This record gives sequence, structure tokens and C-alpha cells, in this order.
Amino acid sequence: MSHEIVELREYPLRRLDGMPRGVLLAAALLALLGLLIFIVALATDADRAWRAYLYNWIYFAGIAQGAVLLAVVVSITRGVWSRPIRRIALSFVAFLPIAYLILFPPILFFAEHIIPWIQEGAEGQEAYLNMPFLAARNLLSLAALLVLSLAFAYWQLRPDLGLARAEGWTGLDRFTRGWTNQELEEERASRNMGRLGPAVALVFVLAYSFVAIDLVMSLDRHWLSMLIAPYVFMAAFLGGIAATVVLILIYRRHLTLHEYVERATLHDLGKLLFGYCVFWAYLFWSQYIVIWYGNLPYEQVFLIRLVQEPYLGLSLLVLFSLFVLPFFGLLGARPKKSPAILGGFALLVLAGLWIERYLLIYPTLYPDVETLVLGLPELGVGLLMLGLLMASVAWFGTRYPLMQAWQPATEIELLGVGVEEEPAP
Amino acid sequence: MPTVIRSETHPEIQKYEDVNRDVLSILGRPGRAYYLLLALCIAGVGLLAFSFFAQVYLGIGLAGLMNPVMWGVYITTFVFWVGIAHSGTLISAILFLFRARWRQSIYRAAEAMTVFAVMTAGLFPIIHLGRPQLFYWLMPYPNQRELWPNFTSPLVWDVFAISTYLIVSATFFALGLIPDIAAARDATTVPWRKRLYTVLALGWRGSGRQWLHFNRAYLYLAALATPLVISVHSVVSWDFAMSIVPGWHSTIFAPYFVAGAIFSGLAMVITLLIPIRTIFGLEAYFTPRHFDAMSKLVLFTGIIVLYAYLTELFMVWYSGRSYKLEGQYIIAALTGNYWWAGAIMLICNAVVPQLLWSKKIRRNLPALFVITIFINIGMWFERYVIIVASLAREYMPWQWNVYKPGWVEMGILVGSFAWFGMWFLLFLRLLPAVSVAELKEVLPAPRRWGRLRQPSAPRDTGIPQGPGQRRVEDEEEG
Repeated sequence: MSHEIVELREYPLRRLDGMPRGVLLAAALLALLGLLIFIVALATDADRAWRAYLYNWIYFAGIAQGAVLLAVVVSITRGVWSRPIRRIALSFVAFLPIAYLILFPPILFFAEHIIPWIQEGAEGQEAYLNMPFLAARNLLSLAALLVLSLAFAYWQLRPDLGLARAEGWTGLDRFTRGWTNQELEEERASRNMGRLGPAVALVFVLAYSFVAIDLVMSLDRHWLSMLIAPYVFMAAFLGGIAATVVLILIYRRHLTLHEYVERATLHDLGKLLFGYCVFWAYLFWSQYIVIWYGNLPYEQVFLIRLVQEPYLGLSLLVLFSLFVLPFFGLLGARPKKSPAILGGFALLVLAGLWIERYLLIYPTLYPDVETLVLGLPELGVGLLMLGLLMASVAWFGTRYPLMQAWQPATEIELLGVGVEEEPAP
Repeated sequence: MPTVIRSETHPEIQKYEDVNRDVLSILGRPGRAYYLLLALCIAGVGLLAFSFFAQVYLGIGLAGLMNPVMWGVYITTFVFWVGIAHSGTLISAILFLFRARWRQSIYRAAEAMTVFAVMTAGLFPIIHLGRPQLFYWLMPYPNQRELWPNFTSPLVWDVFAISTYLIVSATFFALGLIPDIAAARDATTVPWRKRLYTVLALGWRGSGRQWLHFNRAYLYLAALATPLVISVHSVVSWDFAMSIVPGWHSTIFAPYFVAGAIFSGLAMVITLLIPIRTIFGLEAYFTPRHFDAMSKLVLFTGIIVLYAYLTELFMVWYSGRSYKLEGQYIIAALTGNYWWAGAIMLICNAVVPQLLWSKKIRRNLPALFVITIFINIGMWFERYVIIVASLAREYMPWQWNVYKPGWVEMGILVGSFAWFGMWFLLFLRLLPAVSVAELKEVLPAPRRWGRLRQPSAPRDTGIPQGPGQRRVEDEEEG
């Protein structure tokens, strides 16, 4: 019971000195290549191109938002252990404006390529399944989520930006307008984060429930699963954790943060990744077993597609990469503390999740195919979005401190044995 | 100028000796109110026994059960008590693994509650059997009749899930008690108590070696118990969700039942701790901060429950077809013969808990006491609505019926609370209700001389000095 991790320590203000050329180049290349493939795919098979686009959007937007949610959750729960990793998790916020403002609207514009009921009609379900309402609810909830996430990120950053300005960092004036003093700013920031945090979490659930119901479940409008929305957004959260782990390991090496992101921190991250892999399996199983046991035709159809050729191989791959392998691989303490093993499993989870998102969408849209509809278009759109994600996250790293130097007073309270006070005379 | 250092979670407790004195004093002579309550509980257990034997003697027809509502108050109450049993292991295992710093003083009572709630829940399937003396047929064992339980039935999974949970949570409870029982053993002068504690303390002397093994065992049990918290109520939910009864067949049932169980379990912990705090003068141990933290968890799980309600309502509307089975119960509950039960459920579980968004209310103990009672009433009715309202409108309209509980069911329902209360009251008098050993971990270490070192300037002695001073590499496996 003696494993309290507690520290009151100074964290440095560190950021990337300019955009690393390799990252910039790679991101630009990936994005360009992806764009090219996407354009070619649009010209040859527009339906497939847009379907690939949708599923990659769900994947990349989900992991970026999941990582931001991780930063929010550790702030709500006052997870003191997470101090060295919070800001890095938060840095995925830079991708959200791109994901929601630029990448999302085309899905609505070209929805007739993706969603079957737009052409077939949604008899009996028109009240919910109609384009104006679908566009409105998704746009509004994602916009709200974006605003709240950015506001949360702003308040999480602001006290550090004052410190950074004092150290001579430039380009932060806009963010430190109306600066009072460090103590007051920290108090204000933690108060605002305390209000914004739960709001981000609630709106995340709402927005991604719409995404899950409208863009995943309604692709087959006769299929129903009450659990689909939690399943979709909790998997996004798992992706966010895995992406955070990867980014932390990169920064740890690149910025030599070993002193701050210690092995114990990696251990904690490993537990989180392990725990959410198990939780993913739990949600998957909860949905699977009920549908399988109930044996109702209109429900079964979803599972039957997953266990039939050509999708069976991929289904097993997902099960192994999101649950079986991480479960046994990350069970012990040692693998969790090893950057190579932990990073390897995080990448495995990210790869498995990419296929998992594919299986949410493609078997429904391509039910009776002989061979897998998985190839260049899917990969191309993925590269495009990966390039954008890399560039935006790296941009965040060049501009803002990557360690949270300030600490909310509520957490400092948690750290000490006690408060020292004068005895009453 | 000497300074006083105070624990952050328990600022009023100054010394280690205070903890021993305060906690072990609960074991001393109780007041008249205690005996009155105990007598009341024993009378309630008498009611339970009487109702049960009346049912056995006169037949199960005495209960209000009839086609198609073959599961009524009994199974409702069974699910209710299994749910109550969830918070104990949550607090003692999951919060332990999460290193939540507010669990130390409350986890013992919550764990005891868990064990007693499972003991209460376990009565109901047996009460519900036509021939209760054959309950052991549920267990698979080689027998001459070559009869085996139906392993594909979720009801049999339930037997395994719940008996495993009872074993693990009881072991966890007994293990965590060892150092405290040893403290009680050393303090007591009553001969029978001394003998009892000597047996239960398993020869505990507090040596370094013993602590090492103890900590290891505790950690492993915590890691083992954690998936159980999730699995038990998931399996209970599958008693319903696996079937295709309208209103039961729903994929969200497992996580929704787990959240609901934690929701009601934590509410019950709060309901019990508030009077205990006042009666035994434990204000310094259960501080408003503890209640604040528990209330936040109640609020969080309450939101999950609310989300599940909304999902079910939404899906019924979304599907646009009445033959889709999911979520029917909520419609039946809101419009049918059981609208009043549905209304109680929604008000108590969806509306009232939203008060907990206010920090003032989270720290206002009388208000919390009332809110948590509302929550538990609501959670009982939630199960009632799921079970009775769904069954009453099972499949074909000609078989629909209205269920009214008989007097034996009400007697047994009331008796189950008495049965639980009796065990809990006995526990308060027999075993340390607050963890003496773990509480000391969050108190400032005793000093002989000089000022205590500032937490911000650790002196690396190589020896763990208690929280706040040194990072101790944990060796957790989970």
C-alpha cells in the first residue's frame, strides 16, 4: 500500500526549436501523396473514396479528441501522476480545428456517396434520418466540442505562457492579454478548467454519440445496438491514449525529458493503455454476446458480416491487436516501463483501431463482396489525414511549452502531507 | 515557534494514538439506541423468516407472481442488493489501484457492506425457488442422477459470478482487517473478544516481513477484485439482456447495470456513513471532503445511468417500428400500468442526483442523506420497472397481466433490509469499522524532536517516509 507517487517539483518550459525538418517534410509528403491518391480515387470510384474518407475521419478525429479528453479527464480527477504528460496529450488539440472545420463538412456535402438511406429513403425513420437535421446536430455538437476543447486548452496553457513570456518567448502576446500575476492567473485558470472540463467530457459524449449513430449505425438503418455510441467513443478514447503514449515517447527522446517522464510515468501510462484495452474488449463483448445470444435476424446481420469472409481475418486481427496481444504483453510491470515495448503496443493498438474503424463501416456498405475492399483509396485518405495530424501536432510543439510548469493549487494540496500552520496560542 | 502539521485528508486527527483510541472505542459499550436498532433488525429478520416459511408451507402461490410476471419483487430485490454490493469493492480495489487519497477511512465500512449485501442478495434466488431445499442443484457436481445445470443459461453464470464475488470480497475484507484486528486484540481486555481476535489476526505481529506479504497480497487481491466489480453486474444484466423479452434485450445493459450498481452502492455507503459519523463521533474521520468525493462518483455514475435511459428512449423512437425489442420497457413503464414506478425511477435517478453538481450540496450532509435515500428508492424501482413492466407486457397482448406483490413478498423485502442491518450493526461492534492501519498512512508521521521536514524539500534517506515525501516505486502488476 505504500506506493504513493507524490512530488512537488519544477518542470521546465520546453518546446521544439522550430519545426523539425524531417517531420515537416514527412507530413507534407504524406499529405500530398494522400491528396493525390484521394483525387484519383474520386475520379475512379467516388463512393468508395468518400467512404474511405468517412472512416479515416472517424479514426483521426477520434484519436485527436480522445487525447484531448485524456488531458481533460486527468484534470477533472486531479490525477497528480499525469503532470508530465498532460500538455503532450493536450497538444492534439491543434488538429481539432482542421478535423471539425475543414475535414468534416465534406462528409455532409457528399453524404449521398456514403449513406445509403439518403437515396433509398428512410421510411418510418424520417423524423431522425434526414439530411438537414443530421447536418445541424452534427455540426452544432462538433462546433460546441471544438470551442470547449480550445477554451480548455487555452486555460490549461495560459499560466505557463506568462512564465514563458517572462523567459523571453515571443509570439504569445495574444494569449497573455490582460495578464495579472502568476498566482491569480493560476487560480483563475484552474477555476475555469474546473468548469470547462466536465463540459468538454459531456459534449464529447453527445457529439460522438451523434457521429456513432448517424455515421456508423444508420448506414444500415434497420440495425440497432444501444451500445454502439459508447463503443465508438470509448474506442476513440483508447486511440487517444495510445496516440498520447507514442507522442510522449517521441518527445521524451527528442527533448531528453527522461528526468520528468520517468519510468514510473511510463508505468502509469502502460496501466492506462492496458486498462482501456481491456475495457474496449468488455464493451465489444457486451455488444457481441447479447446480439449473438438473442439471435434476432435484424441484429445478427451486423455480426454475421464480421465473421464471414472476406472480413473474418480482419475481425480476428482487431481482436488480437486491441485485446489479446496488449493484454498478455502489457500484463507485467516491466513491459509497461520499457519505452520500446510500451511504444510498440501503443502502435499496435493504433493500427488495430484503424482496422476496427474500417470494420464499423465497410462490411455494412460492402456486404456481399468476394475480396476485401481495402487498398489504396483507404490508405491514401489515411495518409492525407495523418500528414495533417502530424503537422498540426508538431506545430503545437514548436509554439507552446510541452510540460505543464504550473500546477493547480488543488493538486498541490493533494501532494503534501499537510498544511503547516501556527498552533493556536 | 513550534508548528503543527496536519493531514490533508484528516486535518483534525493529530496522532496515531488518536486513531486507535477513536476507532477501537466503537467496539466498546454501545448506547441504548444501538440495542434498540439491533432489536428492530432482529424482529425484521423474524418477519423474513416467518414470511419465507409461510411461503414454503402454503406454497409459492402466496406471492403475487403469476403468468407472465414470474419474476417480481424477489428478483427486483435480488438485483438491488447485488447492486448495493458494488461500491465496497470499487472503493477498496479500484480506488486503491487509482491511488485515490480519500478512500482510507471509508473503505472498511463499504467492504463490510459489500459482503453483507451479497449475503442478502444470495437469499433471493433461493427464496424464489419452488423447492428451496434443492438450491444446491445450481452447483455443478458429479452426481448419480447425472444432472447438470444448464451451462448455457445466464442464470447459471449468475451463480458462478455471485459466488465468486462473495468469496473474493469476503477474502479481501478479512485480509484487510488483519492488522486492525491485531490492534484490537492487543487493546481488548474482554476474554471472548481476545480469543476471537487472536484467531482472526492470524498471528499478526506487524513485522516487516508480514507487512511485505500483506501488501503484496492486498495488491494482488485488489487487481483480482477489480474485474469482478465489472463482471458481476454485467452477468446479472445478462440474466435479462440475453433473452428476447421486449425491454430486456439490449446491448447497453451490461455497462448500464454496472454504472447503476455503483451509483446505488455509493449512495448506500453515504446513507450509512452519515449516521455512523454522528453516533460514534467520527467527524474527524469522515470529513465533508470524503462525502464530496463520493458524491462526485455518484453524480458521474448517475450521468451514465441517465445516458442509458436517454439512449433507450431514443432508440425506440429512432427505430420507428414497434417490433424492435430494445427499450420497450421504458415506454411501457412510462405509459402502462406501472407509470408511477417509472416516474419514481426517473425522478429519483435522473432528476434528484443533478443536485450534486452543486459543491455546497455535496458537502451538506443532511441534504446528501436525503438525496442518497432517494437514489436508492429510485434504483429499486428501476429494477422493478425493468423486470415487472417488461414481463407484464411480454409478447402477445392476450397474455398481458398486472402484477401485484403479495404480503409475503413485502415481508421478505422489508426483512432483507433488517437482515442486512443486523449484520452491519454486529459488524460495527465486532470489528474495527475504520481502517486503523491505512488511515495512519495519510497522517503525518510521528516525530520525536525537531521540526518536521517540509514536504517540498525531501531528504533522501532511502527509507519510505510516508506519503508526501518520497516516491516509492510501486510494484503493481495490474
